[in-house]
Amino acid sequence: MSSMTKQPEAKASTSITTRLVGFYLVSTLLILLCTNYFQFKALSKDLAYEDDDFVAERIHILREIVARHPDALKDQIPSGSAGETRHLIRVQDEQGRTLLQSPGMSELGVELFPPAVTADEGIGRSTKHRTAGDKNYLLNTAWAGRHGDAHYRLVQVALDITDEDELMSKYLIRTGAAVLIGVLLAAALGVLITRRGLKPLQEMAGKVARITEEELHQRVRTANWPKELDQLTLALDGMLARLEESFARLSEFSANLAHELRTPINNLRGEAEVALSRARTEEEYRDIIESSIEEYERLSRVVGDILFLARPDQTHLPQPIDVRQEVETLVEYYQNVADEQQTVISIKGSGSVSVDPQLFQRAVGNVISNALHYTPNSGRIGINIRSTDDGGVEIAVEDSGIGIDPAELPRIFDRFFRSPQARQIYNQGSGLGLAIVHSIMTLHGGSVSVASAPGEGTVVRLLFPPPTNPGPA
Amino acid sequence: MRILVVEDEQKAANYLKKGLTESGFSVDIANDGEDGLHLAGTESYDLIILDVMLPLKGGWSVIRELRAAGNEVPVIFLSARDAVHDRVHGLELGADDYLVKPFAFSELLARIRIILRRHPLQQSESMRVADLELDLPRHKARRGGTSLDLTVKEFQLLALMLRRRGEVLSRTTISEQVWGINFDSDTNVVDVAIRRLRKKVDDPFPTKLIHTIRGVGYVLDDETA
Repeated sequence: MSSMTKQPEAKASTSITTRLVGFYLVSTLLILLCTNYFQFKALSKDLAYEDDDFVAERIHILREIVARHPDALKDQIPSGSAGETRHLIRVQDEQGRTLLQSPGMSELGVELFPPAVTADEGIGRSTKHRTAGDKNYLLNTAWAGRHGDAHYRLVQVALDITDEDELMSKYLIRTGAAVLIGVLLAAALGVLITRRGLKPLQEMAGKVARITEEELHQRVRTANWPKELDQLTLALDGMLARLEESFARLSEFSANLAHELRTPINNLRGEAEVALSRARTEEEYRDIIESSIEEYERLSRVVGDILFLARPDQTHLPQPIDVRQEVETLVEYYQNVADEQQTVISIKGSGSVSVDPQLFQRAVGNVISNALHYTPNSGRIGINIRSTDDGGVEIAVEDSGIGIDPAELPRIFDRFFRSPQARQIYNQGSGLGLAIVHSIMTLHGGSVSVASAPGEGTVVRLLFPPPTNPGPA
Repeated sequence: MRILVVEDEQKAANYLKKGLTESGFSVDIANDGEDGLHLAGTESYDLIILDVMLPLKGGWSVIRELRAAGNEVPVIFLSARDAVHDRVHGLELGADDYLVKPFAFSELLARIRIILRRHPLQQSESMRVADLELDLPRHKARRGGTSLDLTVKEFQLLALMLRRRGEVLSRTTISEQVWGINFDSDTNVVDVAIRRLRKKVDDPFPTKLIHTIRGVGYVLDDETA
């Protein structure tokens, strides 16, 4: 079909896939970073404690030796070069003379070490030092023995932790790589998961796209959709149902319109052709012409009604009217017909509204006329006029007629709609009366509603709004 | 009485000329606005029937120029445009009436007669046709010496038909004149009213006065139509 409506230029929006994958990436990155950070932190802390303990332990041992076997001190100096042993030792006397020291200790000056604690104090934390030769050491120092003793000594221990630091750096790089790979993996999986997750949506789109105007009876909800899409399918099906109904009404409208216009034209044409097919008496011609005038009358009434309804900006000239008086005029008009049907029309209440008098007459007249058509002999028609709370006026026309089938109630304002029962009772109507009433009420900002019980009667309520301040006409 | 019909639709012009001529008028036809304005200016007419949508010069312009030139000849507009503001516009321009197509020819004839006798028309106190007599101030109707028992509306209906005797009155005209109803009801209200009136005015008497013109309306006359 070519009835494509132009869509406003949609703003370029990121796809759901892109967005979801973005979220996956960010969350994976956060999780990996957090876990790895804490793990790395814990590991390096453990190592640091272990080294610190080792240094403290060394100092402790050296103190013991100073206290008990000062002569054995020199055995504690690790033999071999600095590259082979991890820890270095230096021992000084009270005057600061170096008595013993490991070979590599010379490049670590005494002043680099933390302040020494006395034998009574606990051993403090080691300090870290990076030498010019890119080596990392843990340094600690303490006094050994009693102050004033001949063997009062300053003990200094250095621990080479260069390898451990390298290890940690390598570990850090590996962790970084792992995080990166994890993130990439998350992105790839995210794309897959999202595609898979959104698949029902695509299927639904395909299904909806296949529904054309000829197949409006189709529904989306037949398949088993995920729970999350249930609401959407319900809404879509609701929309389809409304569309289908509108389409049905529209095609019925066209059919009825064709019927109402073509029937009189067909009658006219047929009668004229048959009349001309041979010579007729004057009487016959007269009869045919009179019949054709009746058809013209019918045709021009339908055309007039259609044009009335088709005019989008129906001009109306509202003025204040006495509702009671206008209704009485209408009832007087229909009185003869009511008398013939032994139907009693009663009026109650009064009020005043601002309306176009001719349109008011037409709206209320149509409703009374309907009530007369569909109320059997010896019926009652009551017209109640009352002011509403907001200052408007309600006119309720209640009859004891045949009523309206509840199934047909929603459609009675449709143009040309006539129920089969109504057609049977009164076949002259065009089915435009209530549509015109509805149109007139809408024009005045009012409304019309119908309540009915089949076999008991119908109430039509015309609700006119309170008069607004007259604006510029 | 001379009437100028300005109408571009040939069939319409023809039947208007025929119908009006048969009703006793002398009719000229103009097929466009220019022609119509020229004829209206040079000849003397009692009434002009003017279409709104015309070639060369539209009906609105024709009447505007006529009135600007001081020509006060009565004008009846004919138009398929039935919006309220169109009618109002036409009347504001100085037209005497505005008829929407399609209209009943009898309706046009009635309106022409109303406009032409608008001034000399005198409301007499009593009217009579054959042996039917109406006393307007006292709302009394008698036929052949017998008093007729009519309701108020029946009396008004009979008075209308008597006042415009010989003229076919459409159902719309009757609804409008007697009940003040301005829309076409699909209920046969007028037919019922006429039937009831006939029961009282015609049925008891040998000569029938009220006649039905099928598809058009009703006429009161003392000779059979």
